[in-house]
Amino acid sequence: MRNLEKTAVAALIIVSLIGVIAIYSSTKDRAGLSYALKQGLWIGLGFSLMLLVRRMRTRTLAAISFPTYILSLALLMLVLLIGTGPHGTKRWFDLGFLRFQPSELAKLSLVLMLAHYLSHQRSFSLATILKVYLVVLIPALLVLYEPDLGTAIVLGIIPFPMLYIAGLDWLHVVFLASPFIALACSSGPIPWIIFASLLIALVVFGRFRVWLVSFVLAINVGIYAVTPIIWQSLADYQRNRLHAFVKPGEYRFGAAFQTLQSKIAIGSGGVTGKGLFKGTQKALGLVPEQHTDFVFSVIGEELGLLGCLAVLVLLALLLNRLLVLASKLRSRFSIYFCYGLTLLILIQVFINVGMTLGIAPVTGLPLPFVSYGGSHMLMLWIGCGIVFAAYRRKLEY
Amino acid sequence: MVGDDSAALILRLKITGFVTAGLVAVLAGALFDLQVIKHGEYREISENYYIIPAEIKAPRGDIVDRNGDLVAGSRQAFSICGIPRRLLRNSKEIEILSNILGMSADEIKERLKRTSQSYRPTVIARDVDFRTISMVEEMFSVLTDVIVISEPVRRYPLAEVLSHVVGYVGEVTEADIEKHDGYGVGDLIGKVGIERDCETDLRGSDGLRYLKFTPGGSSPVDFKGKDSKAPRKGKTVHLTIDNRLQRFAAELLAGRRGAITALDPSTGEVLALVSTPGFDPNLFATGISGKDWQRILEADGNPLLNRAIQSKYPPGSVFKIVTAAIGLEEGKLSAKTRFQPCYGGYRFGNRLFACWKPQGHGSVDLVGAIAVSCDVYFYQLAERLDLETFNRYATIWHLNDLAGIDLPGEVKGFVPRPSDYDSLYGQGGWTKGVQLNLGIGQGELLLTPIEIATFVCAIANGGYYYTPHCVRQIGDGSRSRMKTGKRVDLPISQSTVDVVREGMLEVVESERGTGRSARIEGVKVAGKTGTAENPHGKDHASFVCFASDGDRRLVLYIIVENAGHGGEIAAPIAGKLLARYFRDEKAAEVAIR
Repeated sequence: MRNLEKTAVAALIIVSLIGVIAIYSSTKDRAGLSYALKQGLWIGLGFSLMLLVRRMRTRTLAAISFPTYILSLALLMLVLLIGTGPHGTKRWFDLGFLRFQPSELAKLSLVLMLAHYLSHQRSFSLATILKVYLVVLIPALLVLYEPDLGTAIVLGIIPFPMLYIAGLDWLHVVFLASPFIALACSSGPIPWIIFASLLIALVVFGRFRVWLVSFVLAINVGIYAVTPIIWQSLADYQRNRLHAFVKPGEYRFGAAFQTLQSKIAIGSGGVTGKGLFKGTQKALGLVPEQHTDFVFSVIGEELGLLGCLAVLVLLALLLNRLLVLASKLRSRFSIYFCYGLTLLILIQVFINVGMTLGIAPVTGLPLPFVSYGGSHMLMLWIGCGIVFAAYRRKLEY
Repeated sequence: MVGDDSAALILRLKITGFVTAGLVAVLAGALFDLQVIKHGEYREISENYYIIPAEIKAPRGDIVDRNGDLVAGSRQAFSICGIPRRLLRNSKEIEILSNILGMSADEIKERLKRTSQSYRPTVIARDVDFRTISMVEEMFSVLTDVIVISEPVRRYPLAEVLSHVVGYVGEVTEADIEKHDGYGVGDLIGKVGIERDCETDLRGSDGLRYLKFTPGGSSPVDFKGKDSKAPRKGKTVHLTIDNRLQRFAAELLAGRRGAITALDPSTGEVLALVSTPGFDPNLFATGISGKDWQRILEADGNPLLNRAIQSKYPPGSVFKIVTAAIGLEEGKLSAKTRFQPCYGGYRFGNRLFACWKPQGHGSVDLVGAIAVSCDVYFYQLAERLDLETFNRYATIWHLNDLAGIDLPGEVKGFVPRPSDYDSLYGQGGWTKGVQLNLGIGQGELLLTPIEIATFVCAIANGGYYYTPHCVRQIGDGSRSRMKTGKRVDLPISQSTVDVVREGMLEVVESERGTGRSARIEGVKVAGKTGTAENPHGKDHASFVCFASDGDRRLVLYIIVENAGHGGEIAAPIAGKLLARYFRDEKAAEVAIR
C-alpha cells in the first residue's frame, strides 16, 4: 500500500473503532458485548473485502457496473415484496445474522453506474441528461416506497455532483437540480420566492442552450402544475403521510423527541465529555436508536467536543485523501467513481451529524463507518476497495 | 471537453475539497454552539430533569343530527399516565399507584408494556375521578414518573337511542396501528357505526408539548419546546337523522326486539334507524370494562347487532309486492287478472299450501290480492314464474345486493338460487313447491330491513332510489363536504310501479286492507303488511310503507320480532310514526310562522 491509501485506511480504522466503543457504551447494559463484537466482525469483513476488491482490474469493475445496478434494482423490488423493517416498512431482508439492506447496495451501485455511464459520454445532450434522470429515479422511487426518505434523498442528490465532476459547469448543475430544489422549497412561500427569483436569474444570465432551458422549465412547470392536482386527489391519511415525509419533526412524535434528547446528550457533554461509559442521558434510556442513527450523540455526551471533532477530522481526512486520490487516477470511470463515493460519504456524514445536532431533519441515515450495521459498513469498504484497485493499476486502464 | 482537461478537473476537485471543509465547519460550529455556548443549559437539564414530549389529545369532532342537535360530543376527563421505561424499573412507584387506583401491579405493568415507544407517556387509567387525582398529586414527590393529563372523552347524550348509527370508540388494536397511520398504543379509534365510517374526519390532530420532569421533585411542568403545537379538534359530522323521530321510534320499539328504518325517498337520507335492544355507547368511551363487556355480550337479543342492516329476516308477505312486480314485468298478469278463487288453501301436487286466512278470500284481482295479502293468489302467480326469473329480478333490482348504506357492517340478504336448493336438499330433492313459498316471501328467502326499505323507495319514486345514507355533511363553513346518495335506476316499467302502488294504497286505504291502522288524515299512505313465519317462536310482524302529504315523503320499514301479525303490531307503529312525522311537525311549523 502506498501512503495515500495507508492514511485513508488508518483514518477509517480509527473512526470505526471509536464507533465500536460508542456502540458498546450504548448497548452494554442490555446486550453486553454482542453488538460491539458484531460490529468488529463487520469491520474485519469489510477490510478483507476491501483487500480482495483492491486486486481486481478496473476494467472488470467497469464491466460489472450495469449488472450490479440491475441486481440492485431487482433486490429493491424484491424487498418490497418479502422485506421487513420497523413500523411496517419494507427495508431489509432478514438473513438471521445480518439484516441486509438492498438500499445500501443501491447507493454504491448507483455511483458505479453513473461513473460508468458518464465516462462514456463525449458531450451532454438532452438524451444524456434524460438517461441520468432515469437511472437515478428508478432506485430512488423504489427506496422512497419502502419507505426510506433518507436514502431516497441521498440517491437523488448523488447525480448532480457527479455531473459536475464529469464536466458540466456548475450553473448547469444547479439548473438541472432546480426541479428537486423546487420540491424542497415548496414548504413555505419565502423559500419558494427566493428559489423562483434565483431560477429566473439563472435563466436570464446563465446563457443556457434553448433546449436545456425549455426542458428544465417544462419539468419545473410540470411539477408546479401536477403537484396540487395530485395533492387534491389524495385521501387525508395519504396527505398526512406525505406531510410526515416533508416535515417529520412536526408530524412524528418520535422525531421531535429524538432530536431533543440527542441535543441534550451532546450539549451536556461539554468540551471533554462525561467520560467513557458515563453518559447519563443514555442511562435514562431516553435516546432511542443510539447505536445506529444516533451513535454520534453517545460520542458527544461521553467524549465531548474533543471526541466529536476527532470523528469529524478523521472523516474529513478520509474525504480529503479520497479527493487527492481522485486527482491521481487516470481513467475517467475511476475518477468519477472515486468522486461519487466521496460525495456519498460526505452527504451522509452531513445529514446524520446534522440530524443529531438538530440542524437537519430526522430521516434515518447511518453515520458512515461509525453507526452499527453490516450492510452500510460492507458497502463502504467495498467502495474503498474499488478506488484503491484503480489507484493500484492506474497505469493499466 | 468532458473531464479530459486535467487542470479543470483538479480545479473541480479543489472546489469540492473547499465545500467539504465548509460543511464540516458548519457541523463543528453547531457542535461548538451546543457543547460550549449552550453547555450550561443542557448540562442543567441533563443533571436535574428529563424532558419528554407528550401529545395533547385533540377532541374528536362532534356528531350532530339534521337539526344541529348534539348526538356525540366530548368532555374533558383526567387520565393517569406513566413513562413505561422509567416506571417499570421502579416497583415502589407501581405499588403506590396500585393502592391508589385499585389495580393490581401486574395490571399496571401490562398496560405500560403495551407500547413500543417506552419513553412515551402511556395511559394507565382513563377518566379517573377527582378524589383519585388528588391522591396521586399528593404523592407526586414519590410518583416522579407519573403524570396526570387532561384528555377528551366521548359523550353520547342519546345513549341507547342512536347507538347503532353513531357506534362507539375504543382503544386501537395492534392491527389498527398496523393498518392506519398515526395511531399509537392507547389511542382511541372509531370501532363501529359513524364513529368508524367517518374516523378520518372525526379524528382531530393531536398537539405536542414538552414536559420537564424533576426526579424527586414536584409534578412535571411545561418546558418550552420549539415545535410544540396546539391540538386541533376533528370535523363535525352532520347526520341525516332526525333525533326526535329517532327517539320516538325507539320508544315505540322499547321492550321489543326489532328494527325501524325511516328514509326520505327523494334523497335516500336516513331519518331514523332504530334497532332494539340497543346498548349504551358511553360505556365504551373510556375503554369498556370487562364486566360491562361481558354483560352486553350475554344480554338477551344481542344488543350489539344492528338489526336494520345486519339481520336477515324472511320478508313474509311484504315480498308479495316484489312477486307482483315480477309477474307484471313478465306479462304473466295485469291489475285485473283473477286466478282460481281462494278457499283457504291451494293444492299443488300432493301438498296443500294454506292461506293465512283459513276462510279464504274468494275471487280477487291483483290489487285486491295485495290489499288482503291473499297467499293463494300469490302461490298461483309464483307457479307461473320460475326460479331463474326470481333470481334475475332480484339481481337487477339489487335485492341480492347491499343497499350501500354508509354504515360499516351491512350484510347482504339471501335470494336462493336453484343451486342453493340443491345443496340444501340434494340434487332433485326439492320440488317447484319452494317457488310457491318464495312467492309469499317465505322459505329460504332472507332480506335485511334496509334492503326492503330501499326497494320500496324505488317504488315510491317510480323506478329509482338513492343509496341510503346517514351522513349529509362533513365539516362546517367553506371547507365542508356535502354527502349525497347515488341514484340507482331499476329497470322497471311505470305501469308495473303504478299497479303495485295501487295495491299498496288499498292495503291502507280500503276497508278490507290489512294495514288500515297505518292510515292517517291528510296523508296518502301506501303499505304492505308482512307476517313472517320463523322457526324461533311467534311470527315476525312487519310493515313497509311510503307516505306523502304532497310536500314531504317518507318510507318506513318496521319489523318486530316474534310479535304476531304485521297488520296488528307493525302497522299501528307505522301509523304513530307517520302521524308524528307529518302532523306534529306541521303543527310545529305553523306555530313558528
